[in-house]
Amino acid sequence: MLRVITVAALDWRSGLEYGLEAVHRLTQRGTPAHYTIIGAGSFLEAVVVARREFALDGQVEILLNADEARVAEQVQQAEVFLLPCVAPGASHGLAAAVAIGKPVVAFDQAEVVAALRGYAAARVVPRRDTAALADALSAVGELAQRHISGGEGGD
Amino acid sequence: MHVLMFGVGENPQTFVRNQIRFLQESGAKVSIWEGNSPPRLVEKAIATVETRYGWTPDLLGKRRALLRAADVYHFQWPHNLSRYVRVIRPFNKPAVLSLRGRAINIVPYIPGYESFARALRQTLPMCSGYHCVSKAILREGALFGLVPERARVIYTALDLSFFTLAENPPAPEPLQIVMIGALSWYKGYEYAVCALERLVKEHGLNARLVIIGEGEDRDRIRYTAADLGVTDRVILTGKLPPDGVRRLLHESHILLHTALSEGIANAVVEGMACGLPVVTARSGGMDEAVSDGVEGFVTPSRDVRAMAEALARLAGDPALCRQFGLAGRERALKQFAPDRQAAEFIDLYRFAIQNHARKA
Repeated sequence: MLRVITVAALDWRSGLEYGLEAVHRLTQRGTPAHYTIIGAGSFLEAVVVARREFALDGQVEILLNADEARVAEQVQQAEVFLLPCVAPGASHGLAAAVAIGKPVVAFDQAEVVAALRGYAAARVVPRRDTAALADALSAVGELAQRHISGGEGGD
Repeated sequence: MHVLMFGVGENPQTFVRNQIRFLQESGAKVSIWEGNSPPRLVEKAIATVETRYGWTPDLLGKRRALLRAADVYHFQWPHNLSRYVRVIRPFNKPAVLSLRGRAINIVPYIPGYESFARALRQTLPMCSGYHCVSKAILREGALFGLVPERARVIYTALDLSFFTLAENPPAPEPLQIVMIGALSWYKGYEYAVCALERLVKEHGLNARLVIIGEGEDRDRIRYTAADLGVTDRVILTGKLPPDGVRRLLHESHILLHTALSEGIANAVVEGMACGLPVVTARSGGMDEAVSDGVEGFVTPSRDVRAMAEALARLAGDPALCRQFGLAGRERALKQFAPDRQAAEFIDLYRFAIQNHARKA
């Protein structure tokens, strides 16, 4: 189970519908995933509609009023930080994810690209390309799986 | 037939106004419940004293007389039924509920609205009849206790005499694609702009997108158009009067509808009445108004590649556009006719009355 998280403003700039579509593609390919979205804003209905449309009600959790400690805990537990921003001003939580070395998958939105410059654990794909986003998530998932298997083998 | 309507509001939406007008024209008596007073107070006052809450006995008498006289109560929105269920209970009349969209396919799923979902599950089974705006909405209602045997799909009714065929065909270049609707997330305009970009850059077409409407997504549409390099091909007209809408429909080649959540969009029906071929996303009940390959093309929701391909195919085949346009006009005039809607409502009310009597 790949645990994916996004911490972002719930507005159109965050591209959450693309994030949900990417997670949907991932599950369609047979990779089980759990996606946590943390944020607040006026775009909640759009996120709820996309979640239903992609049949992800059971796999996508929306946390509206998480405090800083809860956010940090959730980011820590996730395997990948997903940032499908399409416009500047919505990349909340990215700095915290980078600070703990969390793998990041993001669209190539200029502000995000600048923030991720030199960060080795980032995979950046073309904006609005949900197939590429799913590929990147899948690659991170495989790495995480290998890491776990390697760890088990070494014990 | 005397219908008492709840939830009409002081400034009713066009489809509710039309529904009342068409019902009255067909001979039904329609009374409208004045809902400004809190229902709990109405309930108490009707049940006990009549002057304590500042209402005249006459007004309360009228309310009670109305509740007694009506043959059937029609609730325009589920929350009206939840609010008034205790008020109407002593009068033992059949209740009909309209199910349109957001209240049944979005709100119950929003975190924090769990009590609304519970209220739906409690009140929906009480109804003797349901009016669903599409088959898709009927299926959504069934998830919350709607009894399918008591439900009727009654499509929206429009006075389409205003929306005529264009006298002259539009100019061949550029390809003009028109969209109509509130500039809101649920209309999916970002996907429309993405489809336009593909149409221009991958299919090499000289096309532009004209969007009629106003709303909070204006900045998003402008940003997306700039981001994709099609700023000068996306025209936002703002809200237009009906003759302005008709003029732009007549000047356009294709009507595009990319909604993510929808009952059946009036704008699409109006475009069909004007003889425009349609490319629509399969959301809500849209494929109940447009059959793929008959009046236009129906694409998967959010699939900008499929939308661009459908638009390109129409752009390259004027004869197909004419064929779809004429088929669309015929379907619009038949399926969304006011007299048909009124007859179907009367039929639903009769069914609800019989159903209620049987239960009693």
